[in-house]
Amino acid sequence: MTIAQTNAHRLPTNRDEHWKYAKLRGLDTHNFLAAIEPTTTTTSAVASVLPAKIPELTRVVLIDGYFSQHLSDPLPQGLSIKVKNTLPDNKKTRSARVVPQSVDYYFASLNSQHAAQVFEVRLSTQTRYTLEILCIATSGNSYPALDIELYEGATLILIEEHLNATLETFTLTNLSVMLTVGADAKIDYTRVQKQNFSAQYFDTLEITLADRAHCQLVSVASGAAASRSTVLLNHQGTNSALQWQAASLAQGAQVNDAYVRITHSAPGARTKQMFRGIASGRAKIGFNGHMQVTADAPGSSADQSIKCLLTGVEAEANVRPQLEIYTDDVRATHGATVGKLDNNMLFYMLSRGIPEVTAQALLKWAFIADVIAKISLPLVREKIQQSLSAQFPGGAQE
Amino acid sequence: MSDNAQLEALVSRGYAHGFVTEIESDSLPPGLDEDTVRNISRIKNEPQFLTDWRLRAFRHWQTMREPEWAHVRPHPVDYQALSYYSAPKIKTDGPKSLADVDPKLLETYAKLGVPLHERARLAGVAVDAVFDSVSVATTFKDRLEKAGVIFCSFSDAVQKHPALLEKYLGTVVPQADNFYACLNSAVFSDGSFVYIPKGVRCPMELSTYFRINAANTGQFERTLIIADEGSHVSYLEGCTAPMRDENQLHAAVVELVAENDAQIKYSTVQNWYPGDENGIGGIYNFVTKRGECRGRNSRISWTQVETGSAITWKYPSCVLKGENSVGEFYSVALANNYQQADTGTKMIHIGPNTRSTIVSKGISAGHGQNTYRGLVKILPTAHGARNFTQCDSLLMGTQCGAHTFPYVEIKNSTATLEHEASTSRISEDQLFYCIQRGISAEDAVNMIVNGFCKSVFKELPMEFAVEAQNLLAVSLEGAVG
Repeated sequence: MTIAQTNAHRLPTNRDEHWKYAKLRGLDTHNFLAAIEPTTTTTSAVASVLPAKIPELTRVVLIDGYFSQHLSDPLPQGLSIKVKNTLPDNKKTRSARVVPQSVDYYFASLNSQHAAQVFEVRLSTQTRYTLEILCIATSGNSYPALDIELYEGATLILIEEHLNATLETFTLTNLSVMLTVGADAKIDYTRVQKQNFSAQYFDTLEITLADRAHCQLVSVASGAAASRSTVLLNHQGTNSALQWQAASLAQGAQVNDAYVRITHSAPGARTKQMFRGIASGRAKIGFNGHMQVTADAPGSSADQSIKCLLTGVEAEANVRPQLEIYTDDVRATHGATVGKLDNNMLFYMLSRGIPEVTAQALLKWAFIADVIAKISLPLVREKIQQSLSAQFPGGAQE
Repeated sequence: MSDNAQLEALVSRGYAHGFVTEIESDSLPPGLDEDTVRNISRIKNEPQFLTDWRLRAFRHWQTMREPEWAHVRPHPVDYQALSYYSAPKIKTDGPKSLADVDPKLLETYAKLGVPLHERARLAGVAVDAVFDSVSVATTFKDRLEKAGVIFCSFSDAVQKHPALLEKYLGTVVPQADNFYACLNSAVFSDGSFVYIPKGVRCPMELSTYFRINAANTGQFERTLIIADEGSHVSYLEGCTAPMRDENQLHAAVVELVAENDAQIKYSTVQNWYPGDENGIGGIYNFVTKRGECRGRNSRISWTQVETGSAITWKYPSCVLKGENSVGEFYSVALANNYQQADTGTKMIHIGPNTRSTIVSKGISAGHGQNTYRGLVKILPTAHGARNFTQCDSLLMGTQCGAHTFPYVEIKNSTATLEHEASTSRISEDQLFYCIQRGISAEDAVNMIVNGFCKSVFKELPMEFAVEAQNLLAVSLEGAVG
């Protein structure tokens, strides 16, 4: 079954404004079949590649989008797996995606059709939870689907990691996350994508923030031959706050693209957005950050800081910091820079006897340090630093 | 606010250039087909290459669709209902001198503050006056000719300098560039032509004044400026139109070519009729402006003050091909009442060590929607290229919108780009500071807005800077209250 047969709505192309810089080649002939349920052999193979467990986190493992009870910790109250086939018809697909509103929802819609299970997290009022979700792609297509809802005053610390079972196998991951943060609730969300260099990775993250909700999101993307993240966030409640940080590291011929649309629909909404990208080799980094402040959102503030570093001769960075403002009671700023490593800084280090490779690595670390520093759990932060060390040979990771 | 009545009065002062000149004119009947294109070409007595060029453009235009990506919402334009040629009737073959120009026309330009009598003109500015579809007068031709400068209407250039025209026409903005440029290529009626020879510094500012007068017409002029090696020219452009309830289309094309070490400074004060306070009427200003820095060390600088038009859709751009070439864009765009502006620039860096600067100031008031849209593209060949962009927006009122859509595409790792933007309203602290020192709210707003736009105004030639400041003050009066 090809894409044309699975959905009447069309696949995005590079002619679509928000998909200009994504790598979409080959998708029109790709077979978007539902993922195959993992066998015990697959599960044992995955068990051998799982990263070390972090003690304070409850671990949940999804293999090609299917929940693995064997590899996961026992699920506490509020966490559950919904098997789509057992759901009533009107719940089988998640409403917003039945008919995609635009091509931006295309992959979410596809996920909704093909994901066999939905992992649900419901945190009741005033509860607090720390959770690690590992999404492992083994082969072919994978459709992880997460529904997360935080009720009033709940707090969730969530680490979401995307890996492959092998270093070479081609996989296509299509992740869809729906996140609802209730009044006074707080989510601290860290997402790490380090799939193998044959993989293709797409995700759609839809977030709604209620009154005084707080969302801190840190995303570190260093894997996949081609990756594309779509974040669609709505400040629905008054005085809600978002801190969004992302580091995108691309090497070789990787293409990392991200589109983040943030809508301020209620008074007093605040957004701070930070993007750091490093492209080496022939890699391409794309970032399209669209902030909208509607007429219903006076007293909003929106700040974007975007910096890209080009270290490869043929590396490329395409950034679009966009502001769309419909009220005068607003403070909105954005800044974007693209350039190479600062020669003065490099000279400073070389003149103090630091080898050039190490000096360059240190400067690159410093470049993304703003983002990594926002990861709140020290053990997780250290783990991510260590896993990124391969990207910066010669640099100190500690 | 106690000043409200006074502010209302100032707002209702309205558009000063909205009168209509009752003058006989020759017009083509409404409609657009190949015969219309041939007729325009025949009236202008054009050589065959130009007729064929127009027809190629027209055939391509028929395959194109109006662009929809801009943040503007025009009413549909009925291209078959427009007349594509309208010219004031002349008693002789054509005005040989100012004495032959209809006194009513001279009076019109005097009313607009553009005196065509050379003795009364501003010192050091030569003017080409374009009325509807034709150029009615060009001043100081002789003095310019002595310096070797060609400054004439496009129609004159077709007759007198066809070789130059054939060499350069459409080389910067190709016929099929976009919907409106393609339409212009098919039906353009007149415009200005400038050629500055090698090593010549143009002895005076050159200026074109565009006036739409006739109803149910579109204005499709074309400007071509060529600055040969080592030359320098400063060119000013102004425009107005009568107040009418229907939207009139203005789709112009401007092409600039700067060879080695040449410099072109192109300044615009755009004051087309913006429509009334309810958004009725006004000009649709859909313009394609582009300059090519072909030679090393060449420089093209665009400065624009956009206060008029119901809808503005224009992106004066620089293609920086020559080594060390420089592109600049300074813009103030105002959208008041129901005006919509989607304007900005494109800086395409191709040559090594090319530099560009973009400074854009957007002001939104009433129900106005103001969009900055800019592209900075640094290609793999542009080693050491640099760009600095600053775009700030000022919002005055809760119903208006200010939008910033920059596109940054960097394909060379030795390039450096910096972009910064801010959006805010006039600070109450600043207003309070001025008011408590006895400055009226209106004057305080003007002062603050002028300060906001200062970095652009200082790039304008002096006469235009004064006009621009006054224009902005008139356009904004009463916007805060």
